[in-house]
Amino acid sequence: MYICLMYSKELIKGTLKPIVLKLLSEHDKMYGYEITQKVKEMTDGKIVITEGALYPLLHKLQAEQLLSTETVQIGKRVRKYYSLTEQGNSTANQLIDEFIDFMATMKLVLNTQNPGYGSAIG
Amino acid sequence: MEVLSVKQINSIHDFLVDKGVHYEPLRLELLDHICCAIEQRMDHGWEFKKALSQSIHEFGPQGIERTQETTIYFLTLKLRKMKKLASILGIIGGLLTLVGTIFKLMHWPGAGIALLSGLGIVALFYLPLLLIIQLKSTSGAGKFTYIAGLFSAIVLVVGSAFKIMHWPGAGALMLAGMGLLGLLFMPLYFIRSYQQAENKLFKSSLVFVIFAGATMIFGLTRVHTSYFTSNGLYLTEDRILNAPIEKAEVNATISSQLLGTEVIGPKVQAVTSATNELCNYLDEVRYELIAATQGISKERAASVKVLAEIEWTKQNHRIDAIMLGDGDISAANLKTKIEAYNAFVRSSYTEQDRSLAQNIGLYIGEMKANFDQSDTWEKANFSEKPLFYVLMYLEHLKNDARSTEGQLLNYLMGQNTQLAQAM
Repeated sequence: MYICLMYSKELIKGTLKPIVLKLLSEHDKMYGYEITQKVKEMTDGKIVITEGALYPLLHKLQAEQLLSTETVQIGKRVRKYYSLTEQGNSTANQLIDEFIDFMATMKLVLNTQNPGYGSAIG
Repeated sequence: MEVLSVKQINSIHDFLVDKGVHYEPLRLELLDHICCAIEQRMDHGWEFKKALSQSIHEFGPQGIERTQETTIYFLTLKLRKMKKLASILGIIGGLLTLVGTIFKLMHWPGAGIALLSGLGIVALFYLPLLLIIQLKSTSGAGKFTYIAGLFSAIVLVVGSAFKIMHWPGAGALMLAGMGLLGLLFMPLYFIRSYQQAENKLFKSSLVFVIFAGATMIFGLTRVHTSYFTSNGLYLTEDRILNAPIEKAEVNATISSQLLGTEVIGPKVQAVTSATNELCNYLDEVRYELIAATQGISKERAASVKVLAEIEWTKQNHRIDAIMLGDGDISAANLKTKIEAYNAFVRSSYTEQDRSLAQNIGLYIGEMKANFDQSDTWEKANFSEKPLFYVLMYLEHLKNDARSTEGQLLNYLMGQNTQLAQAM
């Protein structure tokens, strides 16, 4: 129930946090629905963030003081905007760098042909 | 762009409330989210009801409930970890305290360390952690009540640890803890619960009963013995302490009359100095024991005449260490001195009276130690005996020595009369 469509659960696990932090690092402030739509749009609908995964994460990041919030009255309802704090910004950069490095490593592993065992000895 | 009406927004809000989304920040957020999703669909020509059901359908089965569950799970993760840690610490601290208490009651070794570590865990880790947890889940004026309550509890636990270990300052700590509890926490707590109570008379009566009960328990347990009992003890003690002194005075009058006589005078002199020597040694033992158990100097111990000044439960094991040891002050040494004194007294009787004098003197044979068990004189009187008993027994011995002296002086007086008649 994390992020579905196209990709299997195991693969998607752990990608939600970098996605959200990356989006927020590129935008001044965003609200929940906006984030889901942005991801859908950017990935051509290949990754859809569900509400059930997004909001708990946003609240958790807020409690960890990586995100700050701002409530704005929109018509007859309120909208909660999230933005990165200073601490959240450095965590975002760190996490994104780590993720890029991880993807490069995965590429290495997946593109290399298996050299086989035993050749190194003797 | 479509904008939902207040009525439509309210109906979605009510739906979320119905679904049990009680966490308001999340509910308002989900409300905005669903509204956005509906508005977008309506822009594409959907009608409101269809758009609503599709938007909710997107959450998946039980999706809304689970979103709240997961949110609260994340938000309370730290708190739950702290509660778990607090529970473990509480159980360990409580167990150590219980085991320490049992060991202490049974006089087994290791009681002090178990009690100290148990109370230490409770006072320094468990209670502060409890305070942090409470502060996280309490808001406003309630916080100060919790701080006051837990702080006084910490002081009380530390104070009782000090009291058990006989460290200085225990009384002051206990008093401070009681003061905090009674003057700060209780009023705060009662005022708070009174303000929150719906039935104020019922609440007041409950508070009053608790107050009366607390006062009773505090008042009655603070007084260890009633006035009559303690007064009776002081009178008894005065009698016991005065008996050998009074006898010594009577003996002194007799001996003063005999000292000048030619044959009996030197004998009287010897009896008096032997008895004084033994009584002085008994006093020495008394001072040594008081000094060692109360942790004061021997000079100060000599002026402690009234048993009321002594803390009876203090350092009783020191009595065994001294009396059953091999120092100058010991039961063995005392026994030797008594034996010598008895021998001297018996030899002071003339040849023909010596068989009658066999049992004169201080008894140092086997004795009943604990109700029905017999033991050696040393063990029966000085092994694992409370200070109160040992001090009283020493006075008893002094009294016996003075009686023996009196008997001998009377005997010598009779001899003097015989001598005078013969001349």
